[in-house]
Amino acid sequence: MIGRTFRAVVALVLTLGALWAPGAMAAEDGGTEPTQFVAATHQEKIDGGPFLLAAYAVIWAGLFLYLWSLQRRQAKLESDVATLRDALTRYDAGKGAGPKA
Amino acid sequence: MNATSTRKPSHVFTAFLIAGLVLSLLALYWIFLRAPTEAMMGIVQKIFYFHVPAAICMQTLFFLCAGASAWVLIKDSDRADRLAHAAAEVGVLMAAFVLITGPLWARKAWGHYWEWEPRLTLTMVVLFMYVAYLALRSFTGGAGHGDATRRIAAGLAIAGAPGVYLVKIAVEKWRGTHPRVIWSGGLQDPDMLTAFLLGIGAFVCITVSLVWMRTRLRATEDAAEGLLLDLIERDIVEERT
Repeated sequence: MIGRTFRAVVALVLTLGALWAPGAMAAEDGGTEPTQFVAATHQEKIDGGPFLLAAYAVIWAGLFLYLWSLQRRQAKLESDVATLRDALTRYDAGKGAGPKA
Repeated sequence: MNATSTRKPSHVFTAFLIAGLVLSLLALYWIFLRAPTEAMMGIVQKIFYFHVPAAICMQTLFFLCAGASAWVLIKDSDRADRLAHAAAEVGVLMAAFVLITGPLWARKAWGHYWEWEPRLTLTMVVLFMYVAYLALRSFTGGAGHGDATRRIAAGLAIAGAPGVYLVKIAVEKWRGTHPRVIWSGGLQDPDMLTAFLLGIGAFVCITVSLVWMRTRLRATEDAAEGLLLDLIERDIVEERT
């Protein structure tokens, strides 16, 4: 299990490397002018807070909703699988079939 | 018996999820309490610290989906098929984050939400391609079923890969308004760089655990479908068309 996980992580790292390498090489080629993020040296009027808040809210709400949805669907399916296995076992054991669905 | 057994939760991937949440909290601390406000764009620049990691994960996942789909076509592997499906679904989620947070940042930086420049337009096209892939997958049954649809979907995922690559190189190769920061030394403040790296770490860990959870869900769906087929074969349940 660890070996497979290790291979998956190595594959992910290699994919990330393959993704970033062309960007690093092409950065010398021109294209859009580079942007430098410069730290503000004095306290300026801060606006744009609602945009920042909206962006972070979308990301965290999206992640938690997706995570919750995956867990809920997994729990329901596992319950379905258990019911189906039970019906199959009962049938194979000759104790009779479940109700027609 | 067609059913495959469902897999138990792995501690490794639970650890990835916990690591992702811890790194997210650390990243939020660094972004809002340590990293300085940017001089030109102000506080809205802080969207960068999660916008770019989401974009990196999106590109990686779509490439992963294309690679796994190629494996499906070569080996007809159920495991690769599940991985491709999971990568596409989580990739679409990441692409949605990118295309929602980007315009919110652009509204302050450019004065408008959207511009039809190369990277933005290509990202939207790629998103639509993988949404189409997921739509196609929704017509596919579980393991061993809907093989034609599965193969067409795999072909679509592979066809989307060059678009993903073009998204990556668009800013370097073609002029556009999208900023070019990381490889041109735009992150020289150590606290800005730390916040960015923490954001990447958080997103990578969360993405790995989400893909694993989605793959597990697909395995359980396949197991349920296999069991259902067994019950239909034994005439315990009736097939519905």
